[in-house]
Amino acid sequence: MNSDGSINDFLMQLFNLQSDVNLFWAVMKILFLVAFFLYVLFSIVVVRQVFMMTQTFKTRAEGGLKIFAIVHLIFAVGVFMAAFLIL
Amino acid sequence: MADSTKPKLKTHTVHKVVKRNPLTDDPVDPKYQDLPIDSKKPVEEYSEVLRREVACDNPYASFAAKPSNISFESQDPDERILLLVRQHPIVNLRWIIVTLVLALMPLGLVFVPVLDFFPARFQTMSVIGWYLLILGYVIENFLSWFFRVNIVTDERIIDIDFLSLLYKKISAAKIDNIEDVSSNVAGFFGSLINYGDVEIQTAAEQREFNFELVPQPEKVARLINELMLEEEREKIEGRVR
Repeated sequence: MNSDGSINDFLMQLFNLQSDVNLFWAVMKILFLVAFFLYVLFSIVVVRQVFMMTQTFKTRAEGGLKIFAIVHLIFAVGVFMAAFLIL
Repeated sequence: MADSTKPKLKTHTVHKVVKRNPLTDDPVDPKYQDLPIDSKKPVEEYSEVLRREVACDNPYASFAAKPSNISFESQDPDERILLLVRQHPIVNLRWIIVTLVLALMPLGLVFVPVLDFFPARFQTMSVIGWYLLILGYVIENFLSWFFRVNIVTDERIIDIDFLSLLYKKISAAKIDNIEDVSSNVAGFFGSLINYGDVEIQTAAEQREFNFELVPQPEKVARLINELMLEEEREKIEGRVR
């Protein structure tokens, strides 16, 4: 926790902040949420592409791929929600 | 005597209609006179390559002759897929190794605690985020490999390019339009495992097709050559579609 404090001090000095020691971690939380949100967007693109490609090129594996893409999207949303709640 | 009094029946000579080649207007070969004009021979009859190959129903195969349960969007109802090729599985080795190395990296945090200045909850989410990135990397590489296919049908060659999640290109050329086919195998692994490129020059809109890093490239080139010859024969014999 000492290191937390020193980083906060550094940040406060850097940005000339007078108070709000939790600002650094609030910014970090926002950065994490943005990163996980971008990943959710990526998984939406994956779902869209898998559905589009299985329409273009139909194989026996298409059911499995579609299920995997949807489960992956649900997982990505789950991680985003977890980050929102935990951080 | 009685026979001579019978009225003679008129006899008509029946002229069989000679089927003609719609392109050249030449009479169709007598062998094919009774067949519909768009009839096709079974592919095994003229292709040595496919005669030796067994039908493949593995959707993940990189060289699937006479594949079953596979179709594509613009396929004609009577168009038959003869061969499906995608890049040799060995090309996946690089990203698989990269994935394994990246997946093991968080174990290094035990020895080099670079994330220790983070509170525990941030450390947990950092590791989860790291593995998400790896998962995304795996998914993109796998889908790029799986959906990047080259299909040879009895009428066309189709090149489906799926270079990334945001780039998709589908091009096709009729066998009639193919002018030249060549194959090449290069490099240590290429020679060892027998994979390489098949280059196809066409007179179609897209001048060049390249089947990259496919298994048994000379076999693919030989099949396309056999199909080109059969197309020529179809024209000569009048079995034109």
